[in-house]
Amino acid sequence: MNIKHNIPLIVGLALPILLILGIVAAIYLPSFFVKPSVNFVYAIGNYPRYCEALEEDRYTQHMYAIKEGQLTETTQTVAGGCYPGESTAPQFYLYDLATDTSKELSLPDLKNLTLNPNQASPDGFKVTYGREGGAIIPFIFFTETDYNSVFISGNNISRRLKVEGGNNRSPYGQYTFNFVGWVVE
Amino acid sequence: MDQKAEALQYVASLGQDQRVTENELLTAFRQGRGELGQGDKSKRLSLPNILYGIGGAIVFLGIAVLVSQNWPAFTPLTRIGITLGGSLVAYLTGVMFSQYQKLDAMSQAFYLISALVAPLGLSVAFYEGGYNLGIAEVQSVISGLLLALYLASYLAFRKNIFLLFSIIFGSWFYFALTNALIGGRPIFDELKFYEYRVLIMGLAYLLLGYSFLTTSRRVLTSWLYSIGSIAALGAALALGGWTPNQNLFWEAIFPGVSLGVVFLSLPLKSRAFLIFGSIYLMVYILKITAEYFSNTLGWPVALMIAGFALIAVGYSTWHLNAKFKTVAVSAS
Repeated sequence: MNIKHNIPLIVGLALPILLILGIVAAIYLPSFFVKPSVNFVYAIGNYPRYCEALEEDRYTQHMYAIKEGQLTETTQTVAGGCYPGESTAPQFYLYDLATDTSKELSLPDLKNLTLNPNQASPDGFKVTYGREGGAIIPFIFFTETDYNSVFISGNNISRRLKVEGGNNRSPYGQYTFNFVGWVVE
Repeated sequence: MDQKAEALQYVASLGQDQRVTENELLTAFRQGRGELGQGDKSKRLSLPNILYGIGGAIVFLGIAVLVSQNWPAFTPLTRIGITLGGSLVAYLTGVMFSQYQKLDAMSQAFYLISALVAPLGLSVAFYEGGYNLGIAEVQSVISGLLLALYLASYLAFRKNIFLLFSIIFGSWFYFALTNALIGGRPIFDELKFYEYRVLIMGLAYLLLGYSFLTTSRRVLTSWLYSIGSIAALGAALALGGWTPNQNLFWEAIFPGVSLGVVFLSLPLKSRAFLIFGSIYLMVYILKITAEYFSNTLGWPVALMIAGFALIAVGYSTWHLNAKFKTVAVSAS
């Protein structure tokens, strides 16, 4: 094979391959040097509020908020209807980044934790939904938020998290993932 | 002086007067040695070939409509049989016909049917196997299988139709695989990522088209040049962005890139380069005018400047095209 004569062919085939290798390097190399270390609390379900039906036209609204580092719950009676999908209390979990596991927390457990509700952690990471895409025709791609995948991203790395709650999520409702706060040590 | 010395002296005089190019000399030399294939002339589009192509496309349409209209009535095995089985039967029929020189052109029609139905057949098979066709991983596997099949077919039979579909399925695989690698990670800017991939694909097409120029695969060159220049120039223009989020590097180099493409049309004898280079240069002029001058000079004055610039580009294009024709006439 005459290499000199086939340089355009070799370069033409090499360009896409180099791009693919570059993407693999961009995804996996940074994770060897930078790792997120601050654990966080998340809720699955109706957070920060859910309702509890009292009568046909009245319900109790439960609201969660972080005040001075503590997760607090307040209630108030509201006129109107409480929809079944909004009437389930959320479940809280502590995500351990070192082991990629979640531990369920009760409200008393949460009182022992100091939480930082900022979107970004002290070491520069955020917890976000992933993106999913499809292609009806090749080359015509579309992407949208994927509520079934949760990532921790920042400092040029992105890692998929194994959160609880199943694979049937939507942006609201009883299976929704909600970030609550970073655990302050 | 013997014949060989006379011929070489004549070639030297042609080169000195620039009446023939290096590429033309090499092409003639290879034709004489039979490297470009005696059947090259038969590969040009004739009426029977066009009808074979149209017939093949209509057969594919018929299969797709048959399956979609009777989807609930067909069992999974029937659906796979009609689509994937149909593609396999068409492929084998093409192989059989290509054994006879008189039926070689017709075999192309069956290869076309097979190539058009194969993605449908594999998609139906994966769907019936319970896989989600919308996710990038499944798309990668389907396109990867098709790429492997058609590349192997090209290496075995050396038919340009297999190479054409290898390029098409390879491009699909390239996009699907890179989407699968990203895996929904939010750190990638999706639009920029898409633009860079299209740019790389366009450049690859242009280089492939150039490498095929002096070979039996040159029938694909004009197609690769057209798609490649549309993709590469379109991506380069899109990477420039729009104020206030513009990318100054891409906006600054784009006129040089598109003018370079226009001027390359002469040595490469590519009308696609001339046409698309000019069109994108005109689009760039309109874009820059609207982006930077419509608020300062006012729309009417900005439009006048853009209009004169377009007239200048149009005249240059016509002038280059005329030069193109002169070069083509003198070469023949």
